[in-house]
Amino acid sequence: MQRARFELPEERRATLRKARRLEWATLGLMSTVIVAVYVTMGASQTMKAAWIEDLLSLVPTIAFLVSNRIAARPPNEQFPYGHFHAVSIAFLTGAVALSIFGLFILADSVLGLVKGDRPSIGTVVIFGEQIWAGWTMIAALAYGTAVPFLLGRLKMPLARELHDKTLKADADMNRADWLTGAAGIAGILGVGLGFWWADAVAAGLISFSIVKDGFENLSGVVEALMDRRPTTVDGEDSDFPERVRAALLRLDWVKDARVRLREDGHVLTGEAFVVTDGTVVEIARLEEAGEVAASVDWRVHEVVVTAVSRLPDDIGPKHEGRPA
Amino acid sequence: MGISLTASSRLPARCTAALLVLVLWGPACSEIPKDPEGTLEAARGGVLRVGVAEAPPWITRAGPEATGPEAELIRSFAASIGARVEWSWGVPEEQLEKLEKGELAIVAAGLTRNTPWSTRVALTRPHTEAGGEKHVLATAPGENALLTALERHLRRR
Repeated sequence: MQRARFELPEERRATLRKARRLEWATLGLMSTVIVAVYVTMGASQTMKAAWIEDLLSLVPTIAFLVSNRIAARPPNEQFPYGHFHAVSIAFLTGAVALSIFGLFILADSVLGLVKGDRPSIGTVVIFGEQIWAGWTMIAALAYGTAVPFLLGRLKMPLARELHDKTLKADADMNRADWLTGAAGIAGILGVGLGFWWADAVAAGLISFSIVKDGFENLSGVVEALMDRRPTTVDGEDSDFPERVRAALLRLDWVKDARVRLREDGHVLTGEAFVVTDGTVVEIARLEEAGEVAASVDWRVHEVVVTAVSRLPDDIGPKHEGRPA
Repeated sequence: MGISLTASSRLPARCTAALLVLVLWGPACSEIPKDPEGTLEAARGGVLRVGVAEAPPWITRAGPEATGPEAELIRSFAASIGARVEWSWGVPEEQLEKLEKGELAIVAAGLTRNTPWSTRVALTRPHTEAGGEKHVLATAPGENALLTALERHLRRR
């Protein structure tokens, strides 16, 4: 009997709950970072770039939280294939935004450098002390770097355990923030030492990092929407189609098989085309084959097995060797 | 769940440590901020080039000299750095253009915080709030040592 609705194994459900709590914490903490950077921003290009990057980093976080609500809904009449793609689309928008904003800031920085725009950073009064505003900017950058970096390190193992690409992308972006912080602080210090161009250069470096994030996420989500064969969270091909095929070939009535799988959120779904040795195949056997296929791994959720007279050439991974 | 430092995190850890050292030592370092064009240093014990435009009651003309609250602020600032003030008169636009190019160090023209020139020159913290407007002086863009010194002076008086 096929499970109508996918349920994560118990240990992973606990991990998922942990991940959700962490993502809510991220939303809260990153909001404070965004406020801190905004308040200390002044006229610095570097700070503006860091602020935009912090804003956009909320996209994968929100995408993950949304995916747990909308995408987990079971298929209904209007959406018979389920709702998983809602997450990919949210992600796509975020990745496009990242790429465009990144390019924009890069162009702005280069233009500012060429025009010779000099950042004017004066003093600020906090707790009754008057200090150079660059120090508050550096403090905000340091805070805004440490927070996502630490959050990212906490998220990464959870992402791997859940095989969750949204969470992993979020963790990756968080961890890469240390580069933004380092470049930003160096930029402000540079301005303090009299190198007015340090601000534009640092902003340019930060924008590179934004564009890189954008393009990487973009290629990942485009592949997902194109129903690419399943990959690990690191983007390597995983061997699930081959393992499902091997499991089916172990059934005595299956002569050969071709399997195609795609990712649907956390799980894999797909089809298996089998050729029999001539015996008539009853429905019960086909259903049993489906269960055998799905039992290969907790991630394989549903494989529709269909008997055909001839295996299609262009479906599924190419196999070397003769059929069993 | 603990946080472990693996090989992949040594580089950020080291960079952060280096930056922390720089940053903590920084405020003790009175060199920061510096002027890219050395405007403040050039004025110390020398000439402070100030552009003025008539804007009563903030700046009024008395022969070649300037009088008014903003003029007084600048005089006392110049005294604090051992500089002699050189007033040059004109209309606000041309003064601000000269300031933008660095030909002047400070401009006093009864400017307020929401002047459209705020993106092209540096504006100080408000020295007075009157009639709902925050009144400021303008300094050459990017000359942060001058701006900082002037702002400290404005707060002290």
